[in-house]
Amino acid sequence: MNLTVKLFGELQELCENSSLQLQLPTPSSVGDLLLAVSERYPQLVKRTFRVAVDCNYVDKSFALQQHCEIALIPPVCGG
Amino acid sequence: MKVVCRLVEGPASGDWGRRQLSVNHNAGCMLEFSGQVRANNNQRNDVVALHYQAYPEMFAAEVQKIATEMQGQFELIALAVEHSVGEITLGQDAVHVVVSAAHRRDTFAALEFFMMQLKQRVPIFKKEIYSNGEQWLGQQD
Repeated sequence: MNLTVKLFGELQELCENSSLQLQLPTPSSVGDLLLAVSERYPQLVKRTFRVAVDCNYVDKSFALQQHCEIALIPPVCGG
Repeated sequence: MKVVCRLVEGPASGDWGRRQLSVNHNAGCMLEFSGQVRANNNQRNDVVALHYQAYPEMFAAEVQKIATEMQGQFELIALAVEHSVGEITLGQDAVHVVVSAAHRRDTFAALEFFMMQLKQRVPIFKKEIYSNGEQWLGQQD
């Protein structure tokens, strides 16, 4: 499946883009996504971030769907 | 419980939130909080501005989730949240939150709860701009 991964904050600057395009086999989990991200974007390997799918924080076991909205969420600092 | 939130380019302002909450005659108390840009953030004293970025769809979703959790703990009538995006300078408001309730005790506790949750989970990202550089906050180098 083809996935678009939104980036924010420092992650956006490190990748010089507001999103990443990734192709993963079906089925794939968030853990699989993180592995693919670390292989293709080594500049993100040591950065801290959480993963959100369809505006909900998820863990590595979460199963991805073709049209889900994925985002890498760096540390939040509102207020 | 009425819940409204928005992101605004530039500094937040109390006017919008107050207007949202001003027409409920069961509210005996309205409490406001504003968070301002200060010069000595993050162990430095030369902050000249902040740059905020947000994930707008998830910002609204998380505020709504927090509000739902608040309903189980406090007797609130309404919550209004306005957060800045883009660049703001010293003294300007980054966030403005207003809560209303029948009685003041619930508003004080609810406002503190909301701000704690905002800082832990609402997807807003902050870059400090110094007199000689800049840095996104929160990464452990």
